Amino acid sequence: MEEARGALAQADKADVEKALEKQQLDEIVSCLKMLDRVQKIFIQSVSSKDLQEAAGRRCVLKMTGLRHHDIILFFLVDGAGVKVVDPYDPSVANTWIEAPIDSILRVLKGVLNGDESAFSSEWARGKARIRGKRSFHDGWVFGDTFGRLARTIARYKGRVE
Amino acid sequence: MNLIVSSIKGGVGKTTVTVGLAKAFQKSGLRVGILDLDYRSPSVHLLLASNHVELQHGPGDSLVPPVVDGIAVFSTGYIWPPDKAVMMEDDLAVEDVKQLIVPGAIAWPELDILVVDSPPTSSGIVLAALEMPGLTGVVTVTQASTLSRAAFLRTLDLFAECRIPVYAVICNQSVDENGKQRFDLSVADIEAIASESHIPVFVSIPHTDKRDSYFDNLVLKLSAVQPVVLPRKEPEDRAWKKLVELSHKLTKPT
Repeated sequence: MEEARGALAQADKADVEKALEKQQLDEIVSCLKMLDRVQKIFIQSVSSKDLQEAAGRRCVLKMTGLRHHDIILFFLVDGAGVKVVDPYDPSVANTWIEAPIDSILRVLKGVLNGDESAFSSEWARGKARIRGKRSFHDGWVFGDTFGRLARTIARYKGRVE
Repeated sequence: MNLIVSSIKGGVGKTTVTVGLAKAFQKSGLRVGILDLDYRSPSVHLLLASNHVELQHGPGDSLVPPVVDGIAVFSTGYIWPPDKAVMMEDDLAVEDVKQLIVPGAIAWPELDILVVDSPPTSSGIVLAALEMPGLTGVVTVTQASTLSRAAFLRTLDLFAECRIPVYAVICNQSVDENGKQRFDLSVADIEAIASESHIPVFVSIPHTDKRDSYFDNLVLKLSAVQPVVLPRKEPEDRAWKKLVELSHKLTKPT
């Protein structure tokens, strides 16, 4: 009887793990789709002034907490938007922002909704953890860059709606 | 010259005194900056009504502090969303503060004195701030009450242990305008501790009920969590005069 219970618990555990794995994959797909949407809107709406102001600012965002998948996604955030970088070249930035997928989704959703402090909120709350010798400065840069993205997108939405 | 305004107890008026001191130094003709190191709960930007100001990117990856009423001000209040708790782990916060006090991280204009507002603690961020290059001493803020007295003694011990000179003790708003005691201890009780600790300057700044007076304006508006515009006209109340007096004492060559 005990053995049967143990086997049942193992089977349940396997089901849960499988479900979590599926859920996390869905989240990744959702994140990438949203990223694609942010980037498309941004490219349609960004002005040369925006690009000029943000020139030279770039940070790398590493998606963490993907317990069920051996996947590490790197995003490059600069004045031209947010994009996945693969392969990741460490020479492009010296600061890492580590954030779990739900945090990245909140940032991207916020940016799409024109929330200028979407990233700073995650930073303040300790969800997006910034590491590096210039972490504070680059955290501000990141926040500022996402803020600009959000503002640009809000301006664009205002024009098309 | 860098001065830290400190107390390990919250609510004694560190930020108000920081801004008041900066204003007093400015009135003495000095070029003044304020560094708000109350990293998790900044409020200098609110006192100076500069909460909508945006930081600018400066040369060499520095951050440029806005100049508010002639005072250069850096506060994390310019970065954190106003309605979000700052919950990151202590090691990350301390690391940020360490980076902020490195010369060149903030593009300060030419300054004679930097007044640093510190958070109410004796660890982490405060200990990091005490490593600040050019730090000359501390102004401690307390009140004449049993609870504040206990924290005051701990604050003095902190700086004695760290071998940082305490220049002045400000006994803040512990008497009313008529000199009447407001809490359970007298100003003389606190002054005696300051004297025993050989602290050269002791100033009692009275609380004032006058609506148009400097401190009352600050305290009332702050408690309503609204931006406060410091009066352009220099107020002539006793609190202000005491601060100016202190600024003269602190900047007088020895």
